[in-house]
Amino acid sequence: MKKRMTLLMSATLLISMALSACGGNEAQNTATPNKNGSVESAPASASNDDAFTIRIGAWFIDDRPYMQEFKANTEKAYKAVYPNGTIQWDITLGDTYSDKLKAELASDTAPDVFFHQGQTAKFGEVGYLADLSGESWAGKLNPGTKSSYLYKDVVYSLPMGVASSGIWYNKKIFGDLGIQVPKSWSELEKAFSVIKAAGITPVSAGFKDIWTAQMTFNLWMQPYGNESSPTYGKDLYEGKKTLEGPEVQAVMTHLQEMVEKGYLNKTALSIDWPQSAELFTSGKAAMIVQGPWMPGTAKENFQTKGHAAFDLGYFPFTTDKGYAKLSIGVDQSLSVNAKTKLMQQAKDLVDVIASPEVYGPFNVGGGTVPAIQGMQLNYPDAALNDLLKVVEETDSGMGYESYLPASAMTSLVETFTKVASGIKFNPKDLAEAQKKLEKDKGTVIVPAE
Amino acid sequence: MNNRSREWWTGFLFILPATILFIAFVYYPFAQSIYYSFTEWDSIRPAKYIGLDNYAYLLEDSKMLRAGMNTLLVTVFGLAIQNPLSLLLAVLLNRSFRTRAFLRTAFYLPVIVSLVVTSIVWGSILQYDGLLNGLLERIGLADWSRDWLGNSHTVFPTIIAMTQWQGLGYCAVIYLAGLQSIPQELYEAAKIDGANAGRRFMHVTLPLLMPAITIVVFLTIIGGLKLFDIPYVMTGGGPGSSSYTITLAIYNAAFRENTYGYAIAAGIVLMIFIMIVTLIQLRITRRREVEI
Repeated sequence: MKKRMTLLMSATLLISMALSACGGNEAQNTATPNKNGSVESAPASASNDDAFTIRIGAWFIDDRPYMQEFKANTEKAYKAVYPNGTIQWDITLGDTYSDKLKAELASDTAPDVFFHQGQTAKFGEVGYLADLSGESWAGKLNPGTKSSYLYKDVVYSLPMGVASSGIWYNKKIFGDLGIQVPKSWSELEKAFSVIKAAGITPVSAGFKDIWTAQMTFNLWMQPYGNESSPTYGKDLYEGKKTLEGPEVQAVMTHLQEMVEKGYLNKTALSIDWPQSAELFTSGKAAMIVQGPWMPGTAKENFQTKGHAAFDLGYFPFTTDKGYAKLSIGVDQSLSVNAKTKLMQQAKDLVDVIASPEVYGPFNVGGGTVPAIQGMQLNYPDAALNDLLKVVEETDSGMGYESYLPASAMTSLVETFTKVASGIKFNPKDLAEAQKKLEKDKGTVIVPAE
Repeated sequence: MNNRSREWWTGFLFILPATILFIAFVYYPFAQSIYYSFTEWDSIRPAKYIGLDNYAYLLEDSKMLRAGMNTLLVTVFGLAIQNPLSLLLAVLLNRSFRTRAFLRTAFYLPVIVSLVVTSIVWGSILQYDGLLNGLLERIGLADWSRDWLGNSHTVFPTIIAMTQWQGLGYCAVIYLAGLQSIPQELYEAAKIDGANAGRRFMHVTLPLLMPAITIVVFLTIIGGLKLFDIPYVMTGGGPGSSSYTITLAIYNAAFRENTYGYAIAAGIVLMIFIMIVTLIQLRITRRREVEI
């Protein structure tokens, strides 16, 4: 299964890479435009003469240019199908969106179409989501992302793109100091030491935002865990491995070394992610752990904050032995509310978003790989092409954390930030995470394989 | 229907709408909460009855216990430092001097500014490269510089200090109102009887200020046990679990960890604890109140 997923992911990426070298800036629309100006791949439902407003819920659509472009593209394509239809964007930025959505779903007031993160199985199980198995894009989804769209063989969501995060570095600093891209933890440590000696902060961290601490820890754990067992996440769930084991201890110990040697910014726990990004783009720090949105953010910072522009490079976390395994995830999944009164219009809205002219630029802007197979995109940003090349060449898989209850994850991240704050790592601290794993195992829905 | 039962029915009809609303929005959700506290519930899938497991786990959960200790610490500091300090402040601000109005406003100002705003401002002051460390550096105390909110040892004392600063003006105003309600004749009579300032304070001011003390102690206990917004905005409970308070731990158990049943159980225990503590406090302080 793992091999199949890797093969499919690689095939998608290879096609993307091959075409990215000769494509234009915009997504290549392989579909044929119809007389209304929409495309064949977009819905061809009977248009509705009555005016209606359809609500779509999201938490991530902010002022970033590619997000605004996504909104505009969606509205334009939907208007072509439903000239009398109006899209109402219900946007709540940040974590509160998820709580609001759950309350809305429970009270039958949720938007007709909504984005969510990793809730397909749970929402599907309780009947909140409409069956989208019959949609044209449903048969083309990358099986490697199955857990984000499938529950009991029914397609409930459209994954908006496959993302991989890792370590972004300043190519100029690396070049000036003669540092090669590290291939193992010991090489990375040497790089830290050289950078620190040059008076530059090796790694910029903004752990005031818990999600950045969690992301860093999980990316780091992925190779350490999977090096010990290719089914590390499942082993944890089944009790064959524990969170007190050497895998977690190795990561915590390495973090402690980094803190002790001053390889992290001293403000790591009191600044948020945009501040840490500023530290990196200003050239005061040489590396940052972030998602595929980092090149876009860097470009924006270069323009708006007056920082001297530099080229970004990307490499994954590696173990002491040089093993790397990327964590592949889906940030946003799009579903239709099972209780919507505008069922066909809602399904058509998802189809519009799945069409190349909307879905493509969204993936290009976010630096993600389409979860719909066969979609040909061009990534104009060199840094993103670096990322995609690494993704193509490196073993990847679903994050081990998919098998953990949120409470165990929270406990691990708390230990991680405690060590980051300068407190010596105590292996006994991991007992709480293991206890939570055993206590709240019932809240986990084992990912589809 | 005689007059008495007509009166009864009239009264009943008047309170009926409010009673219905109260039952619908207070008692019914409360009863539901009690039921959910005995379940494993993630707010999406159906709740699974697990008996007293959530309550039993409260005693084993080191984070919840640490949060409980932190919460008690804030409350005790409030009672031991903020209360006497605000009383002293009120006594000083009750005297007549030129800048009295300005100082009264200055001390009360933190109360009217949103806690979220003050938390954000203090957060930036206390950052590693913030104003406080800059100041320490300028006066030659650079060794004292640290990431006040990012250091496990300093984060909670810093939060306690901020809560004391924030609540000082509010308590002082209540004491000030209490002081101004004490008739001046009593002081004059005590003076004639030869009582010095200390004796006047102990035997006139303090007994007559007991109603204000009851209110302030009550509010301090409730405020301490319910502290949420300052650590939520400034630290989110971290680093690690160093700055968790009970309410923040309950919030995280529900909204970050999706263990709603457990969070509700913790909430119910907290409610019972607050009820017991405040009942004891009211019994002790009310007994000492003196009628003028």
